[in-house]
Amino acid sequence: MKQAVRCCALLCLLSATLSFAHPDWYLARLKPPNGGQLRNAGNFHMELVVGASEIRLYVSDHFFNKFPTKASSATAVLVSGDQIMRVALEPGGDNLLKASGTFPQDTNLKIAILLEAYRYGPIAARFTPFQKLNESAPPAQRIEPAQTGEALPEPPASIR
Amino acid sequence: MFLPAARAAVLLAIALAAQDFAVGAEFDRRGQPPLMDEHGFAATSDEFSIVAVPQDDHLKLLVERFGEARAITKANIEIHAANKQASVTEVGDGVYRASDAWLLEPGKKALAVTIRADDMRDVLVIVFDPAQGGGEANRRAPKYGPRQEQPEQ
Repeated sequence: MKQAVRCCALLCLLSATLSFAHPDWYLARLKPPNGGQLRNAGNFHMELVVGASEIRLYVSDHFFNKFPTKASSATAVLVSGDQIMRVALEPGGDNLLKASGTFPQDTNLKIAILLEAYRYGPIAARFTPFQKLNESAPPAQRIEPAQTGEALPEPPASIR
Repeated sequence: MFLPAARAAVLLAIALAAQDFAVGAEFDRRGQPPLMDEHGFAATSDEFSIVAVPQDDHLKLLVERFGEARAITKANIEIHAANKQASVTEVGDGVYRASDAWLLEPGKKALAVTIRADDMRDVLVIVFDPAQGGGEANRRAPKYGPRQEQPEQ
């Protein structure tokens, strides 16, 4: 009986570890690597940085390993007051997708990112990029896959 | 006898807490789930709850104020995909309809739903496959109460 209970507890713990994903409330407590806003979306973490003349989207897996975006694309839908903008983001090297233009900087800006990730299909996340950041947050760090599970499979070398 | 049992209980509690921690963020469980009893693909924000329900020839959208059982009426709603946009018309209190055929084409889609109602402005995201009929979202957004029937117009 005792062993059965112990086995049950260990199995629960193992399954919790395997289903490793950060909810947004947890990501909001981290300091994003590029100073943007972090969101969890499907198999990925997205970090969105909105400047007055550029939008940058960084894509990584749940262990903060960079996901190459050379063969991916994304669309940003921005809502600021009565203004709705749709902007195409193009690969910008490494794990970056970006777009240039003139973008609103108001605190109520809301952005939907529609990502077409290579081999993973459509993924979406919602951002409020000018929500106040937690200045005392610890930095988001790359998590060693060997300690927590398996990372995403590597894309072929042709798109890295 | 007591100590191993207590240890097992502690382990179980930690495991359950960790399981809850690992819940995905597509349906944020901080607030209440949307007060809608139709099976569909749900999304919430601080201001709105929506459920998208694929029908035979259109996509039905149910829109409510987040955390309240209050239908959002007379809203200006648009559905955006990467290269497409769908127009949405209101067909009842809090019930909207998008008839664009591409919305119901098979395959997974990521959609941005913009909502302008009164002084509220927002955008929500839904990832869905019409062929799945809301199964994925049903697992994330449990229904917790019947929706009040709206009187026939």
